[in-house]
Amino acid sequence: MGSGAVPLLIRRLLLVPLLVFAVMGLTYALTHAAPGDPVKIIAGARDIEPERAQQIREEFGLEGSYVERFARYVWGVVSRGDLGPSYYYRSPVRSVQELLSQRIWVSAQINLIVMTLVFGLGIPMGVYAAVNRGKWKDPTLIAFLKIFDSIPSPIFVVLMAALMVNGLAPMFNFLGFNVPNVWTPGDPASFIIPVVALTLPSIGGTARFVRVSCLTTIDDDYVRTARAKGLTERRILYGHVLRNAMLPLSTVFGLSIVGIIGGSIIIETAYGVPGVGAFMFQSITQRDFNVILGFTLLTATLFIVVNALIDVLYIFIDPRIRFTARFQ
Amino acid sequence: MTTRAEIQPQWAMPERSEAPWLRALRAILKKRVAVVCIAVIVVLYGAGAFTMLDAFGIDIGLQDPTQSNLSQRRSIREVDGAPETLGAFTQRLDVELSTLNELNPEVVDEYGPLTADTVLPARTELVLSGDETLQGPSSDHWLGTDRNGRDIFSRAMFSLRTTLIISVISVVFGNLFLGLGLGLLAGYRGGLIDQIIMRIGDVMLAMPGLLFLIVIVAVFRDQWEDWFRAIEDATGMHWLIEQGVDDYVLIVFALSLVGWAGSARFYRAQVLALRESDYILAAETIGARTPRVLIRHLFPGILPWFIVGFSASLGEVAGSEVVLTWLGIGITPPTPSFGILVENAGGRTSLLAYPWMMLVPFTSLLILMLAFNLLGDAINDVLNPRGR
Repeated sequence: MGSGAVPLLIRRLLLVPLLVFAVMGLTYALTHAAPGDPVKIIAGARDIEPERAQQIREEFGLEGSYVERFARYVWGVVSRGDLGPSYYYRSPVRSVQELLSQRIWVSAQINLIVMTLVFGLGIPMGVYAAVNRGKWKDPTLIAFLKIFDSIPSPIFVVLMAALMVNGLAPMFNFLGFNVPNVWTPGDPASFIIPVVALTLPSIGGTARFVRVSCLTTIDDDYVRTARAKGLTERRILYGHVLRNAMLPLSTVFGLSIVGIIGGSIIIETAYGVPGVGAFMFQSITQRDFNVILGFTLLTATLFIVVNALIDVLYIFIDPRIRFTARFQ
Repeated sequence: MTTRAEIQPQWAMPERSEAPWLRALRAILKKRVAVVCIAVIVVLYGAGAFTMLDAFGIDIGLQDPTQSNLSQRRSIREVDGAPETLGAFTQRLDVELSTLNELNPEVVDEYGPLTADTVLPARTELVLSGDETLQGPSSDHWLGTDRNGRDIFSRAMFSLRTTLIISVISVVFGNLFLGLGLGLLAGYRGGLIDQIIMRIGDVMLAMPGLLFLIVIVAVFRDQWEDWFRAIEDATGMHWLIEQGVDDYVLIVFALSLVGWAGSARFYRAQVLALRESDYILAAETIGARTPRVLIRHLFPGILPWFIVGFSASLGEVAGSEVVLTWLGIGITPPTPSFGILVENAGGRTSLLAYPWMMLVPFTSLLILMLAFNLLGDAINDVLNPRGR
């Protein structure tokens, strides 16, 4: 197994820059081929004097053809990690990485709590459902969770906010929290609504995933052997079934690490969270293309790298997996 | 020497075994959940299809979902040169009153909260009566009316039309043509074709989904209407924009562009498992070409999986359309859509004051999504019994 893994690792990682470059090209083409000359967007007017246009072009690196600009952009990212200036925040001109880093931090805080809750609640629920297969408890729990991920997210957010403020807030207030109507900086109670609204719809998916992977291992021969050997059900469950069932979950886990910096467009927009999701939506309406480009690049790169690492890690975690079967 | 006539088969032809997809379908129809889900989907999509008759000029007995029922008499003040509607006025009043109440808890404690009755002069009552805006459910309006006096039941029916059109066309385009076609091709041919298709798919999948969708819609939105005006002029079909066809096409375009990669990967994996089967080898041996192998031999084999993918994508796409519209970049207002219904009903004050407005989009979407979800699960159980 060890001999095959290293060339595979190299092959996978060599593909990473190529993919990132392709993503960059696609996003650049999409955002900069958009109607509306960036110069006009920056100047905030349709008719501008040629001198002013020239000045803006120089200041924002917009001289030359699309290809030249793209090459300059790529070089800036690669050599200096510079994602370019924002088109919208320009007095003084702010860099994209500066704007993004503030907001990513807000989203990351929320998403870290959400991720902890989703895995912390979803895994035990999935195991519980799998153990109780064939009884009423399993379908009831799964159906209950399914309701939450079936509600379309805008409705869910709206209802959550209303319920929180009008129904549950008094309860939380009784416990000593004061849940605000909209996001209030510096108030930890503001986290409650976005966290609950993001957690509830995701638990179902995780629980179902864990349930199915538990069920695929629960009938295996080695589990029967363990039982025949006289191990307690608890030992069998945690030591044998769950350990193997966790394997496929590592992909989900890895991808949710990418999700941490992702932010949520819907919930952040609805609740006024100054996170990266709401910022992206705002940037799209403001045609602040450098911001969109920079953020897409960041998440896509992270996604590609993590994906490659997961694939490679799989071989080390589970020696049964032959890489030829996975990557033909 | 034996003559040709003597070599008659000495065995009876074996009875033709049932096609795998037919067997799967039979097993699916045995599950009660699946049948209920299919019934729900058929009813809701049927309602959407029913309202399509309207586009052909047939009277279907529903009120016009875009026609506002306001009269000028009811205007109370001018906003941007136009009379403010009563709906807008009452909503503004609600917001202002609740703010006042929140700011002055001691006044509320002493005199009770401020309401429209306590602050409006008596003649306002006259204006309020006979108005069709924001009514609760009644025999005229089964599910009440919205802020512009439009019948919510008929708006919901027409929203189902939007859901039907968008989800079916995007899935047929993205999932069936692009996803299934490219997935089959990549999985069967392998080599360079596989590499090219799947690497493009990787790039697509690496983009954050909803953001990518929003960027595509936002970027094309401005030019789109111009293009459609040109199409209207060229073809003489001047109902295109009025019926919201331009929005439909834009969203279908964006959804298929974003959605094909996931399904291509899914179908490719199924093809890889089937490709080595003896019957494919047999087909190749007697000289079947790629298109024939793909369509006649591989497609029936993965048809059950195709049903899973298709029903899952339908639900997903219908949900995405609602999100896009709710964010204000999907279907644009005169065309009814659940996203707009949610947006109209979702303000914190409107939700409490006029809860019936949320009831319709909430229940219909929840039922539809649950039906797709549970149907997908039921089919999965049948095809993959180990996970039960």
